[in-house]
Amino acid sequence: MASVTYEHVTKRFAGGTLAVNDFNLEVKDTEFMVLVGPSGCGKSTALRMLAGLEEVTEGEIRIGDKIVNEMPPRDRDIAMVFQSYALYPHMTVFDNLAFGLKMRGTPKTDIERRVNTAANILELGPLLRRKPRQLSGGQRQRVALGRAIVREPQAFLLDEPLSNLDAKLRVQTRIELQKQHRALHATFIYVTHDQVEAMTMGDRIAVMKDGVLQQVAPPREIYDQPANMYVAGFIGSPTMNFIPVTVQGKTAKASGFDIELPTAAGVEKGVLGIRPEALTEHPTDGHPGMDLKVEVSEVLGADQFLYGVVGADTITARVDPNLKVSPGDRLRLGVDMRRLHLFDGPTGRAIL
Amino acid sequence: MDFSILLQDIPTLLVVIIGVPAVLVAYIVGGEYLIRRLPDENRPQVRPWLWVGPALVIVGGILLLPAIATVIQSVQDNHGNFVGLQNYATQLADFPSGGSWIAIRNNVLIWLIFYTLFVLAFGLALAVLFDRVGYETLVKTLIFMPMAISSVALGVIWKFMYWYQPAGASQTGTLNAFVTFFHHEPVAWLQDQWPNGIGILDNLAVVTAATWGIVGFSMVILSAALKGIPGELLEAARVDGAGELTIFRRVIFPLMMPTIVVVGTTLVIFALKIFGEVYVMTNGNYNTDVLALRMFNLLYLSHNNAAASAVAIILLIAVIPVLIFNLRQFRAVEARR
Repeated sequence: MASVTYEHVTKRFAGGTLAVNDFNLEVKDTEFMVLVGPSGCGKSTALRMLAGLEEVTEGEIRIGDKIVNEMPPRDRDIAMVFQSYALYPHMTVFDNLAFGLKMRGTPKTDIERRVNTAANILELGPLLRRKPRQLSGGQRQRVALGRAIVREPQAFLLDEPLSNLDAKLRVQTRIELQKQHRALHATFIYVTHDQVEAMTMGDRIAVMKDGVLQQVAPPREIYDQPANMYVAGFIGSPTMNFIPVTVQGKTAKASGFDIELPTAAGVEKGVLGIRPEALTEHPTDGHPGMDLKVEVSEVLGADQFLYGVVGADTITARVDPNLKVSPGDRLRLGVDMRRLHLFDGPTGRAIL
Repeated sequence: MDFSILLQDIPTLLVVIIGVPAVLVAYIVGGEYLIRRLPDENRPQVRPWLWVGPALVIVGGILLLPAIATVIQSVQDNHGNFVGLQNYATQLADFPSGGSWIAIRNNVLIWLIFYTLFVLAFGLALAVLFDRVGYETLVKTLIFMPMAISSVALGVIWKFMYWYQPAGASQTGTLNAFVTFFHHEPVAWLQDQWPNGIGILDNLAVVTAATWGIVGFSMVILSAALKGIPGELLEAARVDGAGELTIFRRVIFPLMMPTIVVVGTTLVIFALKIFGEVYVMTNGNYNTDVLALRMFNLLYLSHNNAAASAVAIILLIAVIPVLIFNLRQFRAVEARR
């Protein structure tokens, strides 16, 4: 087991595309690190550079304290789980699991023992003689994970391993993966575009956009103290409300309401960030609230989301599901003043 | 050009242009009319035969009947008297150099093995080597181009390549110009029956020429199979610790195997049917005869229809096992889907 360090890593493709730009990240030993971002943000490229499948243009990648920039994949002692699972279709499950060990010249009795151990952990025992095409999607996913586990690598790299599973199986496997991480006591680096996977699985989350790392923090902190508007908008569903405001001293003026900030912001133009769950039908102390003209109401059982406008701004609010609201209604919303965010207008950087 | 002959025979022209489609339409319309008058339960049994009928007649007429006629002719002499297996006995007499034995040996040992092997090996090597280079399309187009050359033109081209002048004379053949440039004796590629008159060298010279003509075919099909292997599979193998050679041997090659078998069996059939290249380059002389050429020469030079039929049937018998294997393989691949 080892830590993984990216130091000023940049990846420029042949066409000149800058996929990863001055990327700095330290993944601690046995940590579960999630790289998250939209497609094309460079998260997979960052992972593939660590695996040795892409060359590093600039900077340094270390596994433990060894620099691996020039090291071929087979010497890096890492294992990878691919989105398509990439199982060898002509080999049985046993041979798929054993392939990496055979390549490293592991003695035959050791191979058998380790494959059987991994097969027991993942409940693949009865499937060992089958070919991948005879397995279900979930079973294939477990074989892909097993192929990584038998290697007992320094680090596990997982590239969107759940995206080919159906919704129910994805939730099961997500929980299963967290158990495995705890049991294996290993370093996991997990790439996904799914914020739910990121929030639920990561010890820490690294949010990326356009090849640039936006913020690295534990899930709670990413959610409660996003470093900028991008992170605030990417994490959380439905997304945070962004309301342009002009600031005078401690007062922020929006098109449909005013709000008193806890401290002076020091900017003139800003964007107020309020998560839907901080906008409820309950009035809050110290703030008169705002009038929502409801356009759409969605009842999800446990929650009700209201979409509408306040002044000229589009707003989403979360209210009690038993509240009877119809489109066209007006509703007084209270704001949870402790959960207010303010971002600098031009840069999007968090001020509050 | 004089087209008056076409005008002279306008009735025939009309029969061809109007009559043939008319007969076909009448056959279908009339057939359907009759089928509709049948009781309900008989119609599904009869209708397919109406539609398959023309195809069956054509296949039967131009394939099955001639084949049967050939079998009959092969057990008769040239005057139509039944002689049993006499013709076959003549063709298979005096092993190993009499009758058809040289042609059989060349077809089955030299062409079937070396031609198939060369074309597969070079096709595979070219497909793999040029798979990841920038000028791949250009190279593949160039290698594929000889496919457009007829076997006769190909034979002529390679005859020039192999052209031989006695030692001392200036060599106009490309290959011998090369050989003499390095101060070796020129080689009579298409006549030299090395070793010891067995005739492997001249046969391989013809095989090489034919290989050049067909290698683009195997390269293109194998290349398609190669590109069908997902990139993540090779990356997984790389992360698993396999070197490029091991990846080829343990991952790429096994995954290409079904395609290699299909190309291989097709080439085996090509090898057994080979004719044009040999006809042009050596005309079967110097121990380079093959069955198809022998049949042709027996028929048109010797006017020995009976012997030619026997050779044709020997060739047919040689192809049948390959065809059966090919069909089984095809079914096995289908079943795996």
